[in-house]
Amino acid sequence: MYMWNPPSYPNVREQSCLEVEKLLGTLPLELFMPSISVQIKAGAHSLPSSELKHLLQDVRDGSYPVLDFHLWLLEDLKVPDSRLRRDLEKNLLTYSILQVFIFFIHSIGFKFGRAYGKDFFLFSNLLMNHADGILAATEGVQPKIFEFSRKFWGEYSNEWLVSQSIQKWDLPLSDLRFLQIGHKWSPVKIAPLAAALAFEKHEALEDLLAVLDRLNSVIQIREEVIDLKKDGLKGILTYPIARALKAIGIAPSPQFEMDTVFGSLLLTKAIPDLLQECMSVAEDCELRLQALSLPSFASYARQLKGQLLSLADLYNVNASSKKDSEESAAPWEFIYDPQPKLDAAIAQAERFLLSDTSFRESWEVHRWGLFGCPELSSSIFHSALILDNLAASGTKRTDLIADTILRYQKNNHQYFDQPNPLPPDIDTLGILLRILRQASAPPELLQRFEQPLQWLERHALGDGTLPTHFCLDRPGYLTRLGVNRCAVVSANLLLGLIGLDTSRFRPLVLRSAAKLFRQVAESGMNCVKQYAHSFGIWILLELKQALWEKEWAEPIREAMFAAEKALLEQFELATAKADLKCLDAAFLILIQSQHQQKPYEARWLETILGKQYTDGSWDAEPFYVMPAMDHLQDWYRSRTMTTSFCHLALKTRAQFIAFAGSSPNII
Amino acid sequence: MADFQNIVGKALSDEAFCKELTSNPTKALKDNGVTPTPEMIDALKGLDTKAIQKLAQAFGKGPAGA
Repeated sequence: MYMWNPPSYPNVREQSCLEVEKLLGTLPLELFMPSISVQIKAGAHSLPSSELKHLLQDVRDGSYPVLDFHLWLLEDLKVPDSRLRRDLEKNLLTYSILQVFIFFIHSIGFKFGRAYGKDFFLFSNLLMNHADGILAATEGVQPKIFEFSRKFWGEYSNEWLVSQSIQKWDLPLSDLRFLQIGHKWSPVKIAPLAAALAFEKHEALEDLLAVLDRLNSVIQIREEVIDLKKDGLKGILTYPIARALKAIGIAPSPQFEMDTVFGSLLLTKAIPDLLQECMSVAEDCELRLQALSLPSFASYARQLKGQLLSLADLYNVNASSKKDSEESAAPWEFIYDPQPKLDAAIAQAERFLLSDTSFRESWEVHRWGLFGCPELSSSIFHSALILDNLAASGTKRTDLIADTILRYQKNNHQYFDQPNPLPPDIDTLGILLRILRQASAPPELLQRFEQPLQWLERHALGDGTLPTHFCLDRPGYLTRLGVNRCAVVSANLLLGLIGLDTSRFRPLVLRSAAKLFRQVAESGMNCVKQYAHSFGIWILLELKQALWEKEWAEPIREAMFAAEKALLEQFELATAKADLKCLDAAFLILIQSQHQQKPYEARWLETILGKQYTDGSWDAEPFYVMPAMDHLQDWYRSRTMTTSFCHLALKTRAQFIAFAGSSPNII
Repeated sequence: MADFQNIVGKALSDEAFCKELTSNPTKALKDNGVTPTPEMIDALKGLDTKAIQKLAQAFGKGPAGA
């Protein structure tokens, strides 16, 4: 392969990096975190130190040497050494570094789907403001450079905004579309353009911009070919993936399967052909750059052509069409960030969950005087829910299940562990009944439930209305606490009763479920008053599914069907949610595994895998409403609870993959 | 046809299947529930096991590379 070693400009790099270090060192305290994140992103590979000059070494030597364009131009135009040239070199390099940081911030948010906070937006604004300040202070480039800057950043914004549009994949590759793909790099034209403006080299500008536009497109396609699998697993429909699908007669759409794309890679020459088109463009660029007497740029175009050839050779898997050449034999390594593996993520999550079998972190604890008590904690409900999730994912801890049921009885079937005025409730009863089916000796443990089951029979109203609390012996509470209005609480209990599989409660289950399903069909998710929206959809669909399989539930099938329709509409809405939390993603995976007529989205799994902590857990995310200080409401959240649902979702997805007999690529 | 492409695609993530597909495509397809046609067998002719493995390695180690 043709190797070109561009000059390294050490002095100007030192100066510019120092200037950026100073800027980052004087940031408002609130912006330090995004600043560190972006610097880490800038130095994703092994480096000799954390100094900025080293962090940016990869940017310069790696995929696209955008930091050096203006330096090459000044060199190629043979601009004599002067204060103006030295100022220009430093200022435009500083500008380019800030620009790269802005690219990193945007790519974290746009491409990787990370939900980043206001601080990232504000940090990006601050960098842009500082970068514009540098341009404004640079002699000889105003006001023209700002016209170009607005235009180029506009092209960049437009390309990011339309990049998920299906229309963009109209094939064959038109000249217009080819140029648009490169707009994700448009701002890199600003620095060399400013250098040319400062020295009034207007004659070279138009041609140089035209060539840079085409090089930008080639670079973008090359990056997308390199990241083809990585993007594909994230469900990102890039241009090469669209070409691969099109080559085997499949219309590009965001619901593609990775094995189909792989099939195309082996059965067609879609990617080598695409890279051949890019090579032709790079060759044309090289000739134009030579004609413009810009040897540094021309050398880069030539090197790029060699990289494309090597890449095309890698994708050419047909022995009969392989060519032996010196260039194609040259090694060219992928820059590849391995994604966390599904199996590894599951194992880590399970180890986290079982590292403390009291699940203490998940307990709901109040030390602010709730019900006049100095301390109230609820451990039984949470342990039961986590154990139920673990059992559903194949890790059945019958010892812990039996212990939790015994503690429930010993605690007089109450929600809180300490004495308090709150009567026993149906939500705790429902969850505890649900784990009963996972116990090693259910009949023996069932007698522990006799008291609350009798309470239930006495409290449930004739029309199927369920109480929240069993207040029979303390009638004063009935008025205050009222009947249960949350469909999820009812569903938890009904699922527990269905699990008992006894005729004793069938009439009650039928009455209550029919009422609940009518409520869901009529009012949608407004019937969920206490739990997170996505959990509500899942648990209500679980209830429908559990009843659908029972012959004795035949009389209420119509109501079930209507509720299911409403719930799946809610599922559709939930899939469109932009800021997807891990719990949302987990419940979407769990719902889709039961209702496969709805398409699976790779971003759900990506959201979960991408946000797992090193200890195997996930963030504490809002799950249900609980009392807060001053008698306000707050959301209960726990890392252990989030982890238990994420673990269940990952395990369910892994089981689906294994059952489907597909490779894990379908994740 | 879509099944055929998906099955063939597995060769990029399953080394054993890749070897079987290139050495005995008829059996490999049948074992995976695809009835081979002359067109399918023709399309698989010339596939280079080493080249496929090289591409798979570049994508990342492990069956999923995920």
